[in-house]
Amino acid sequence: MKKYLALALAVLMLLSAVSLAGCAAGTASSAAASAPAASSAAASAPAAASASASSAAPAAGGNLEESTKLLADAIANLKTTDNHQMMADPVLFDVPQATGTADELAKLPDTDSNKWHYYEYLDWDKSADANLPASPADGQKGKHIILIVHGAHAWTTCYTDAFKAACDAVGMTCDVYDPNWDQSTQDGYVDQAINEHPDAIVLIPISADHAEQQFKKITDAGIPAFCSNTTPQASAMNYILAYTGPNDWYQMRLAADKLGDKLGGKGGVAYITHNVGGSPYYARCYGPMTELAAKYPDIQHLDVQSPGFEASAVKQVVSDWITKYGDKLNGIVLADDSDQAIGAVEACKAAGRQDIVIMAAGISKQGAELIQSGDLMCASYQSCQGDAGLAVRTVSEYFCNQEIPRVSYIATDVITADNVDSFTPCQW
Amino acid sequence: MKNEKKPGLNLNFINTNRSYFFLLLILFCGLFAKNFFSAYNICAVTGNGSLVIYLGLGFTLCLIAGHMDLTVMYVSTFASLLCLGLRASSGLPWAVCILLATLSGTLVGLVNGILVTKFKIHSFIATLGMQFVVKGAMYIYTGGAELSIGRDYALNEALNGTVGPLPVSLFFLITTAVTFLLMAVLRYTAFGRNLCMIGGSLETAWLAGVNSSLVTTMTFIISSTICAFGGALNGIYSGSASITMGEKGISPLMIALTAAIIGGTSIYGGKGSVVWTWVALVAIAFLKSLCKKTELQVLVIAAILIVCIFYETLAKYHRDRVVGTRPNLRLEYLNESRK
Repeated sequence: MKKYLALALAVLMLLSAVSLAGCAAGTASSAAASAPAASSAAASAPAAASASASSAAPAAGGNLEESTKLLADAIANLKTTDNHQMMADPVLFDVPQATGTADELAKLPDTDSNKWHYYEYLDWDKSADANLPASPADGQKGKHIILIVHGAHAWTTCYTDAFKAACDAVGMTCDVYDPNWDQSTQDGYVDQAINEHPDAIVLIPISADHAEQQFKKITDAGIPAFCSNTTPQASAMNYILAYTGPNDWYQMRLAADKLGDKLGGKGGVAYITHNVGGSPYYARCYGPMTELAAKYPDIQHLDVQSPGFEASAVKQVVSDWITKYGDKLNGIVLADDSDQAIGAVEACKAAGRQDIVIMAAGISKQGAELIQSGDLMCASYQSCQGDAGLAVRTVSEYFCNQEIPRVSYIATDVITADNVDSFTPCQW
Repeated sequence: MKNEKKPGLNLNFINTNRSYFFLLLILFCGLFAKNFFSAYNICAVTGNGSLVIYLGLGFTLCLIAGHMDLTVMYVSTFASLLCLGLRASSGLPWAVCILLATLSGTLVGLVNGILVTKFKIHSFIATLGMQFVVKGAMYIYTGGAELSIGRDYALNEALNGTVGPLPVSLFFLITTAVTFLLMAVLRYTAFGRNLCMIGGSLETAWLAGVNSSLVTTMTFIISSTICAFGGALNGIYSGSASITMGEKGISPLMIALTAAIIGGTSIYGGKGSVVWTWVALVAIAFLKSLCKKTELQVLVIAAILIVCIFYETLAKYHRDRVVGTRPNLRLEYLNESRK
C-alpha cells in the first residue's frame, strides 16, 4: 500500500512538473512574442530597461507616428459599457496650500478638512523626485506592460478587462498579476514584474502607506512606474511618473451635499468605511464627514465602523446602530454601493426604517438597481472602465513623449434616481 | 535459494527526502520559465519567503513536541508593528527595537507554555485564544493604522541587499543561519532530544525522567521568540507592517503548516526537522514565482499537501496495525531456513 501511495505521490509530482513547465513555457513564449526587445535584456533590471529603449530606437520614427494615430483613434472610439468615452480627457485639480505640517494637521479634529490635506491631495516635495526614466519617444505600439491590481473583486475584473481592451486598441500587450488583497503577495508580484523587465509597470497599491517602497523599487530598477486608482501617500509620488484615478474626495463631497440637502441640514449620520489603510478608507469616510461638518454644522456624526464588504456583516452593524441610536440615526454613508449597500438596505427594511437616507460610492449593478428602487438615495459616479482607459492613455502618451500631468483624475458625477438611466447598463 | 536484491525505487528514501525532491522539481520547472534563475529573482523570491520560514520554524518545533502554535503569525505581525512603531515614536536604534519586539514574542510564548502545561489547556485552544489577545493588542497599539519605516532606508536596503557574490539577500542569510542554529539545538542538545521524546511518547519521556512541562514551555518560548525576531526583521525588510497581514490571500500560517507537513514533520509529533521545513518553504517560495496566478499556487500546494497527509495517515494506520505483532515472521522463517 505504501508503495502505491508513494508512486501516486511521484506521479502527482510528475504531472505537476509537466503542467508547471507548460505554464512557465507558455508565459515565457507569450512574453517573448509580445516584447522581443525585453527578452534580449540583460540580467540586471536597470540595464534591461535601457536596453529595451535603445533596441526600439531605429524604428522609432515610424512606430511613433503609427502609435500616435492608434492612440487618437482609441481616444475617439473606445466606449464604456454605459456608453461614455473610455479614454476621455483627464480632469485636473489645483492643490491648495497646506495649513501646517502633517504632524500639526494630525492633531485637528476628524471633521476638519484641513486634517486630511495630505490624504486628499498629492502634495509632495518635487525637489525630492527620484531620477524618473525619460520617455523612449518611440511610441507605445509593441510595448509590453504589467498591471498589478489589488485583489479579486467584480470591480477589478471590469477594470482589468477594460485595461486589456484599451491596451489592445493602442497596440500594447499586458500581463495582469492579482495578489488577492495580500500586501506581501503584492510585494512579491512587484519583484516578479521587475524581473520580467516590462516596458512599464502600472500598480494599484493595496496600501497607501506602503506604496512608496513599492514604487521606489520599480523606479530604482529603471522601469517607468505608474500608479492607478488608489491614491498613494504623497511622498510616493517622488517615484511615480504619473498617478491616474478617481478623485474620491471630490466625488464623495458632491454626493454628501445631496445627503445634507435631503436631511435638511439636521440629524445624525453614521459611516461604513472601505478597507482600513487604503486611500478610499479616508476619502469615502472623511470626505463626506468634513463636507457635512462644514456645510451642515447641525448634522451629528454618530459612528464610524469598518465591517468589510460582507452584506451580512454590514447588516449587523446597521442593525446595531438602529438599536443604539434609534431616531437619531437619519443617514448612512457607505464606501461601496454593492454588498455594503445591500446589507444596509436590508437592515433598514428589517427594522422598518426606510426613512434612513443612504448614500454610497459606486456605481455597480446592485447600486443602480437600489437607486432605481429608491432604497439608495445617491451614489458617486466612478467609471471603472474610464479609470483603466485613463491609465492606458497616460502610459501611451508617455511612450509617445507627450507631456503628461503627474496627477490626473477621471470625470465624475452624482447618480440619483433622476439620471441613473444615463449610467446604465452598469460597468460591473 | 539465492538471495538477490531486486533493483528498484527506494520509496522510503523518496518519502523521507520528499522536501528535497519537491525543491528539485520546482527548480527543474524553473528552467522553462523566463528569468527564473536571474540573480534578481532568486534574491527577491528567497527574501520575500523568509518571513514564512520563521513561522514554519516555530510551527515545526511545536509540532515535533506534539503541540500546535496558532499564534506564530500574529506574534510576528505584532513584532513588526512594535519594531517599526518604537523606531518611529521613540527613535530608538534598530537593534533595541528588534530586541524589544523579539522579547514581546518571548512573553507570548511563555504565556502559551504556562496555559498548556500548568492549566492543562489543549495547545490548539490555548494558542487560538492567545491569537485574539495578540490581535487585540495590535489594534490597541496601532489603532488600525499601518506603520512604515518612512524614509529610514539604511537597514531596509541592507536587508534587501545581497552579500558578496551570493544571489540571496541578507535577510534570507540570517533566516538560514537561524534555521541551522535551531537544527543544531535539536540534534545535538539534550533539549532537542527531549523535545522529540515528549512529542513521540509522553509516557516514555516521563519514564526517562524528562521534565515535559519545562521542555514544552521552552518550546513555545523558542517558537514565539523566533517568529517575533523574524517578524521584526520582516517589518524593516518590507518597509511597512499592518495588522491585516495574512488575513487576505493565502495565510502565511497555513503555508507554514503546509510546509512543515510536506517537509516530513509528523502531525502526530515526535518526528520532524526544521531543515526539511526550510527546504519545503524555499520550494514554495519558488513555486509562487513560477505560478504567476495565485489560484494555481494554491491548487498545486494543496494537492501536494493532501497527498502527504494521506500518506502519513495511512502509514500511521499501518504501523498501529502491526504494533505487538511480528510482521516479518515469514522473512525471519526464510532467513532461518537458509542457515
